[in-house]
Order: sequence, then C-alpha cells, then structure tokens
Amino acid sequence: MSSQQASRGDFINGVPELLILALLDRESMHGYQLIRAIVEGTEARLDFPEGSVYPVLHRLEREGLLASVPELVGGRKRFTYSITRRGRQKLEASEERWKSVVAAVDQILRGRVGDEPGIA
Amino acid sequence: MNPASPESLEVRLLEQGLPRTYVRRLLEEWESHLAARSEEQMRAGAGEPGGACLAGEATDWGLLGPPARLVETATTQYRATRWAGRHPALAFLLTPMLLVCAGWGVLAALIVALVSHPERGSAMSGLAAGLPAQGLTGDRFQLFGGLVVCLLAILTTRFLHARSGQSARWYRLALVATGLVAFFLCIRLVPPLGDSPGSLVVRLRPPDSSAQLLGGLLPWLCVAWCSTRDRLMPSPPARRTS
Repeated sequence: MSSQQASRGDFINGVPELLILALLDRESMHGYQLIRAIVEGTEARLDFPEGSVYPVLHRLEREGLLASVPELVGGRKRFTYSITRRGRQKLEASEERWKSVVAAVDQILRGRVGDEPGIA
Repeated sequence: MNPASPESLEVRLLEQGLPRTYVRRLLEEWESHLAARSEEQMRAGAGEPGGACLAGEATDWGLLGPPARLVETATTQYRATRWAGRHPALAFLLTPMLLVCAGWGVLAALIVALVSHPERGSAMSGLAAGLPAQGLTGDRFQLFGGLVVCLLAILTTRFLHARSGQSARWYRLALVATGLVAFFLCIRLVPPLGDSPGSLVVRLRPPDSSAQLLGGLLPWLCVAWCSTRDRLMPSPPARRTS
C-alpha cells in the first residue's frame, strides 16, 4: 500500500461498515477475502490495519447485520460472513446517507474552485 | 514478550476486560487471516527466488497492524454493542447500588410485614411470629441481610463486568460503591424484631453490638475479599512457553 496514496483515518466513521456491507451484499466471504476485496476495490487508497476489520465484523454480526458460519480449513477455524436482511436495509440507508454527504461536500468544493480567480 | 505475538495480544485484550471467548475468537480469526495470507504469498512466490522468505514474513503478527491500534479497535467495537460497555458509570455505579437498596428494602419489608401481622394465621405469619422466639433479632437480621444484598450486588457487578468489556477499574469502583451503600444500610436501618415489631428504625448512633458491627462490616469484607485478590476477576493467561 503506497503511503502517498493512503490516508490515515479514512477507515473510520462508518466507512468500514459501508464497505463491508456492500461487498458482502455481492457474495459471502471470509475475513481475508473481504480485506483483499477492500484493498483491491479501493486500489489500496485506504490505510487500515488488516486485523482491525475483524472486530468490526463481530460488531456487525452482534447487531444482526451479518451472519457467520464457521468451517474448518487446514485444521483452522475460519468464519464465512454473509449479509442478513437487516444488513441489506442498513446498507441501503447508509448508501443513501453516504451519497448525500458526498454530494454536499462536492457542492462546496466545486463552489470554492469556481470562486478562485483565473479559474472558469 | 514480542509486542506483536498472539500471547501479548491475548494478555492486552484480556486486560481491557474483554471476555475470554471473544478474545479467543479474535485470535483464531487473526491466525486464520495470517495463514491465508501466507498461503497466497507462497503461491505467488512459488516460481520466484525468495518466495519462501515472503511466506515466512506473512506469519509475522505485526502484519495485522500496530498492536495498540488492534487492541483499541477491538475494545471500542466490543463495548459499542453492550449497554454496560456504552454506559459504564450507569451500569457499574447506579445499578448495583439500586439493587442493594432494593434488595435490602424487600428483605426488611418482608420481615416487618410478617412480624407485624401474626394474627392472620397463615403458615408464613406463624413462622414470622416465632422469629423473635427463634432468636432472629434486628442485629442478626443485619448480618443476614448484609450478606444477601452484598452477594446479590457482587454477582450483578460480576455479571455486568463479564459482558461489558470494561476494565477492572470499573468493577472495583462498583464494589467499593456498593460496599458503602450496604454499610450505611446495615448500620442505620434496622427492622426491630421483638420489642416493637412492625416498623423500620433509623439508628443515628454507632453500632452497639458485635453482631451489628459485623453486619455493617460484612459488605466491606466481601468487597475486600473480591477486589484485592481478584477472586472473581478473569485472570490473564499464563505466558506460553512454546
């Protein structure tokens, strides 16, 4: 992960929940697959400790947004996570809120660029 | 101890007050994550020189992230899903104290109600009428009541602590607060049994008998026994020697 591209602190404030729910809405995955999907899907622009995703998964599971199924792979226990109906509802609400925030911030930023002298 | 080893992470997570079952699952998943990462790197590096070296690096627990940040995230995320984790002051100070007061009140009211109505003739009131004759005095009730409400409060606090993911500091604070309330109740509020049954008496003087003193001190003895020796606390695991 490039340190120039990555920005610390991006992986906070509801972003991990949104990414996890969106990815698991496509297909069920275990933790490592999910983390790889986040890294590849964001082109490694988000900086987060890989291990910190698991506590978030456990919280979402506890809240009933995810379900997990344990399986034994090579003598080790692995959990495969899938989204629940409640999780899908939460995803829809979070996605709407996220788009609204992005649109609002974008509006301000575009306005600021437009105000600068010499920029049309 | 290696700062990014499973042993050190386990100790640090348990020190934060996270339940052992939760910590075990986290460690299992982290271990599985590193194994999957290692397998992927071995596959990727199979045809390249230095591939084995890459695989060795993948089993480094430091790849999961800085231990302090992992512990912080795990603790925050766990506490966010528990009422006692989100509101520790309410859970650890108010709840046990209210429970002590309620427990003491119920016990005292039960004894007073039973003793003041012996004429009803029920089995319970007959039993209650005989309590003074059996030697159940107000002082002895304090001893019994103190023990019951304190045990109730300690068990409740322990229950809350086991599920909240809060540190031992809150647990000890709750025990001390509970002990204070129980001490006050045991010393000041006595249901008289014998001379003038049927009412609660608020004593405004120091304990005047050894049983009363012991009844007042019992909560403190329980608190001291539990908190100083950590008998009811989850203990950190012994260091692995493998």
